[in-house]
Amino acid sequence: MLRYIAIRLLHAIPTLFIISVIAFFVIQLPPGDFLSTQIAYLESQGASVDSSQIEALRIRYGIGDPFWVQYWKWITAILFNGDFGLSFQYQRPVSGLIMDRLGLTLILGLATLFFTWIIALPAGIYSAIRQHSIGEYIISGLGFVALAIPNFLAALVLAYIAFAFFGHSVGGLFSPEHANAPWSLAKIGDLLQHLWIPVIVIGLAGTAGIIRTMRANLLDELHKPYVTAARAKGLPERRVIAKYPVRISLNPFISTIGWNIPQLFDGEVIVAQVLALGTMGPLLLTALKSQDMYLAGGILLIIAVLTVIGTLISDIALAAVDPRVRFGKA
Amino acid sequence: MTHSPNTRTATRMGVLATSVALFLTACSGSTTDANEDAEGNVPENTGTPDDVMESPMLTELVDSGDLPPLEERLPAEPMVMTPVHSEGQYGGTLKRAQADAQNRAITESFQNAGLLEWDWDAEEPIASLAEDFEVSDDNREYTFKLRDGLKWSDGEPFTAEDLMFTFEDWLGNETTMPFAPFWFSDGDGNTPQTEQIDELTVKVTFSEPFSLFTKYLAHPGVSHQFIKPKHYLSQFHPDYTDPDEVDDLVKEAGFDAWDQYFGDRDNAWTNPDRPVMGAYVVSSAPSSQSGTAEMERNPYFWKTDPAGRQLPYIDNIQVQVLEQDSIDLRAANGDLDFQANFLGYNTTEVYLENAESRGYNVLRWESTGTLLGLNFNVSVPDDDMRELFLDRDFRAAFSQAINRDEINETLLGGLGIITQPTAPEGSEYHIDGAGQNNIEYDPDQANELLDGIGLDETNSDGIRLMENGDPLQITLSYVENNTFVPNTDAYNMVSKDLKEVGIDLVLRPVDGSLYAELRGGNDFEMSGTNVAEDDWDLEPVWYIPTAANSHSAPGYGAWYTSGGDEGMEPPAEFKELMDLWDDLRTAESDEDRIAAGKQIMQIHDDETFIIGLVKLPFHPVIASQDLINVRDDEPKFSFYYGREGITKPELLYFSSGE
Amino acid sequence: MSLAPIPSDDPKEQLETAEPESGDPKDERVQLATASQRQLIWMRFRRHKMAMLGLWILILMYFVAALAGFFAPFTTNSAHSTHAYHPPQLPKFSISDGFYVHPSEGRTDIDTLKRVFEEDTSEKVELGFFVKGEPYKLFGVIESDRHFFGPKEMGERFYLFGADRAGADVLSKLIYGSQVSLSIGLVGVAISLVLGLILGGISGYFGGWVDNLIQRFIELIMSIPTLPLWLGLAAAIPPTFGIVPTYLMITVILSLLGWTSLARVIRGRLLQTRDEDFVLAARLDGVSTARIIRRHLLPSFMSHIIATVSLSVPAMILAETSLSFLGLGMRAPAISWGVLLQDAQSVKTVATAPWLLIPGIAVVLAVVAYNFVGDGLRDSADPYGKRSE
Repeated sequence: MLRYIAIRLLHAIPTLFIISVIAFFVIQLPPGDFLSTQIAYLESQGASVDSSQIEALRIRYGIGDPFWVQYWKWITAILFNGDFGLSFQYQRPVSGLIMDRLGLTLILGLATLFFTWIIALPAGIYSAIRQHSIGEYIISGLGFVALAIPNFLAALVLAYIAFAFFGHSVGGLFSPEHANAPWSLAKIGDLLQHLWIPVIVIGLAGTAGIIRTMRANLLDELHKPYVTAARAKGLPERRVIAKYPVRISLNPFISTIGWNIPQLFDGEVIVAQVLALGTMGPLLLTALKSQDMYLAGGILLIIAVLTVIGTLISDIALAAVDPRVRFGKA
Repeated sequence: MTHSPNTRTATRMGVLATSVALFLTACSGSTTDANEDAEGNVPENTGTPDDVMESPMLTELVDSGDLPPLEERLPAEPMVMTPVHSEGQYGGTLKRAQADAQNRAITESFQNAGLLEWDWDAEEPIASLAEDFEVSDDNREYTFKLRDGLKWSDGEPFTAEDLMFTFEDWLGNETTMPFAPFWFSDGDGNTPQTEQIDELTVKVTFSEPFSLFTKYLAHPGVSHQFIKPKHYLSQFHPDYTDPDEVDDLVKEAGFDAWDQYFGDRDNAWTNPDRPVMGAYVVSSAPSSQSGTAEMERNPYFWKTDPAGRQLPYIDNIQVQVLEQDSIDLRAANGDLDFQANFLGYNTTEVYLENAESRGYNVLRWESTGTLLGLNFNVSVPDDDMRELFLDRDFRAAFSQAINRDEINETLLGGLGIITQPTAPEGSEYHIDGAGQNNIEYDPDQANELLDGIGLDETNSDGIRLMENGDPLQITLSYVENNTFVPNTDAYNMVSKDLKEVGIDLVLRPVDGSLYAELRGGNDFEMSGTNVAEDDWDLEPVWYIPTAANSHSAPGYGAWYTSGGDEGMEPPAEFKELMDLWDDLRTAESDEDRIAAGKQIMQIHDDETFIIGLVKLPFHPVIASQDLINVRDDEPKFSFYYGREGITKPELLYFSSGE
Repeated sequence: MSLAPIPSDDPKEQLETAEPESGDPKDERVQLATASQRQLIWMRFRRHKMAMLGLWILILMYFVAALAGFFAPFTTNSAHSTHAYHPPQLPKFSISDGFYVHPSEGRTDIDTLKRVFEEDTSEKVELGFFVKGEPYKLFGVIESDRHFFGPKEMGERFYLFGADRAGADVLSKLIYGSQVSLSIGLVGVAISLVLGLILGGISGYFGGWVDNLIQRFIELIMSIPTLPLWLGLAAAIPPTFGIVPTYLMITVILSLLGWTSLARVIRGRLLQTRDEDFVLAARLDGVSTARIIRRHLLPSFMSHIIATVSLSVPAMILAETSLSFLGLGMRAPAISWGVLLQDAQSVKTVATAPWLLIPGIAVVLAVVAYNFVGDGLRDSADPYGKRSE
């Protein structure tokens, strides 16, 4: 077991390295650089920028350096000093910006994941037990519709409904009066009031896939002989299903939980953008769009590290459960 | 007259002493007079008893001994502001929103403090932090005398020392300012001579006349940059503090170089520690994840109302950072107390619909800088195309081929204003009847003109052929924007109209940063953008290619800034524009300056270098029904006048007191 | 496994035990016994009512998209200056005039800024089928001016789904937009399929270090959030590209999403089947590797690939709208559902012109239909194995 963990850890190192290179590379793909976006930004605010000043700045920021030089500067600073660099756009250290938002991002992500499972797992179980019933069609139909509505639209429409019918302003994760207050029960309540739209929009969109997998897993289990045996012994149907098949079909979800991490960040970007949530999504989006390299690179790297850790935990959990995995047979 | 930008200093020094010395005194109360005729259902000042001279919030602090009494906080001669409607009462929190955390426009509107400020009509710069100022009759020497007893928001005195710090250690420092900014330049990239006369007086001497300096000092986007707290910022400046110590601070904060950290500390919007002179102090910065900034009143603010009560009336401002749709919804829900910036014209209908039920008014301020325009790149590298763009008949035909009424009818329901780019009525550079040349829709005339300049052959699609046999295809680069006039739709209609006269206009919506790159690289054929109209002299690049970021001639702009070393030599008509601009900038009198400006406008009107389409009829402003002293005389909403700042926000108050 | 004794309505069981619905039972059995795999799948698929419905909806959508010029009442560039934000019109019917609507003129109220439309009830815009209208080119070549349904008189206007802010017909734009939006998934999946087949095939068939390498690579790609990947790549498309190359580039970018999961499915299937007896037999007979893959392996999991593919198409349709929303996909004046939705993404639209959100319904319809079809295919695809991965 220890050997397995050690091997997996060693595997993670080249993965992280390559991810960091790819992340840094992708960020630099678009034409122009941060300064040109900065000029554009200032102009959109009505200011004129003298282009001769820009050249001087470009040299100062080291923006003209070749890719490898920039990458090397960046990655060594992170590895040896824990310094993620300075965000061009915010003129603040990247690590501070990320730490500011990481907590809320995880809260949103986990709340969403939880919500999705609470809805989707029972729905999946129902779909498997009542296969081809009207109920199943309705469930999968609803799941598909939730998946199919572009979530920027769903977020806007829900926000509008909240405004038009309840006089309630959505947007942000806190009301202004709570935003800068210290944590309190009232503030948590306020957070929950703002959290429901993004959780519903992102969460429902994810249900279809989970319903589908849960249904398939359970169907497979239900056809196994032990289920028949249990039935034959006269166990009540509810117990027959709940005792083993459901639990076994849940295993794959628990053991692949690590894979959900990049999706947590993916899922929220657009909705968080529409609703102006103070999470990582919008930060990443603006960083990418304005080519704020260190910020975007830092976020991507953090996500990648979280993913690798998550996968590692999943794999270890799986290996603990299933010896075949440990010995590389599966 | 041939011209080299390097010899711009050799201006008409001969005409001296003819202009009268300008000595402006900003005495108390002279700031407001336009509002006396403001009438309407304005409630009487109900709340404040005569003996309450400061906010109760501050009285508490004074009583507890945390703050000196009012007399010690105010300067000897406070600036007295007359409210538009009525004298107010203290208290309340003004709620606002903005679209991104970095945007510090709000500091220019609500926290602005400069040596000078705009008068009520935004026409004349008047004394503000300066008690009075003097301009030599050749526009070269500027003397500013500060009010006595001014204090920073942390209670430290504000003196000429602070100004000298800005002049010498920031504007004059090669690291912080590698090039002199255009608003504080001798014309050759150097900063002017500065000199401290006494504790309260400084003198700035330019080597050539600089007629626009007072305007820049009143322009809220520029004026605040001169006001830096030496006592606070010098601790981050290696000329004042041991460089190693500064270095440690810089490293600790995660910055690479001292000037970056200096810039960070100097940003009053994101750094709550930085003392300010404006009406409000940021108490909680916007960039954290909470996305909400808070500002509170500056206890040392140096303006009072006519009764001598310290301004501002409102205690706090709260700014939420939101996305456009959320801002629109909050505005429509009455959650914003006073907002004009970041509101989209297109959502006005929704604001109006909900105004009454949710307790706010929608005012219509004069819209500026929203005229949708098309710029020919007259310095385009392609010789044939450039020749065409430089042909007045071609430009006239292009303009006449566009059915502006249809664009206006479709996109603005016919409410928009159709004009060619020019200084509008009320501007000092306005010429009667300007802006109407070649504006009528006349495709026949356009066809005739195009035939007349040799574009009489067409291909099978009906597109005219250029002299080299290529079809006349022009690519229009622009940044898509739907908050004002939806420009893709407008340009699409232009393209349709042009096809009728055999010109193929291809739309190319690009990202903002790419648009900037294209211009810097002189790599576009036409650009689509909003064109400045009023007070364009603060940003001449719209009408005269003075820099390589010009929207209509970056090649000539590069030539101008580099003194002829780089870029492309402009033809005579553009050299004339550049000469006139130099005349304007270095004019020794207002008459000369205005004459030069009018000539520039005249040339543009004759030549139609820039095609104007249509501009918004107004800019929507949302003000809570509870909020008093918001200007309702349709002032100009413009970056140049501090946007909402034109209503002098320190005078706003809530009739309910909160 | 197929001996499961509990009564079940699983299609598999139904197929084996249920009496044929009609016809001679004996014939049906013979048919079953001799049916090819394709026929077997089809027979099972037909029993999925929702999948069949989805299939019909898709066929209809693609048919309309292919003949966009004919089905759209107007061409994409056709607009009317006083009809901005014209609300949808429901055609009325009378015996004497057939279908008609009343023409109306719009203006903007200066106080409320609302669009006000006054119907002129004394006039009628007569509508009809197969009317002459604006000329268009079918498939880019066949010139025609017949429209399926529209105003009989050339130049008159009619808005079944309302008009947008430039006074153009939403229905026409929707139909033209479906050309891009519906095909982007197909083209993208084709690209993913090629990549997935090659890499998954190599990985699964050869195994060993090749497999290991490819699997690590796939994990790598999957551990980067897709959105930044798209953003970076989409922003890198040279803006000088015309509409068509941009469209192709975007499809390629989107297909990055699809190929990894497809490669995994293929690899898994290959690993499962390559050790089956029939493959061993073929190998012992001296059949070449290429032929084994083509004749023996591919057919055994083709159905699975089809099912997976039909589930990745809707993902790409959605991805296109997301990219447009972020301002990185297609851009106006190009037309796609994503572009139309991006234009509609504003409070004003939701509040005052909700019909501009109709393209959203089209997206939902297409995506749901694809998902039902994909689900049905997957359930029907593999008679012996699991019902899903």
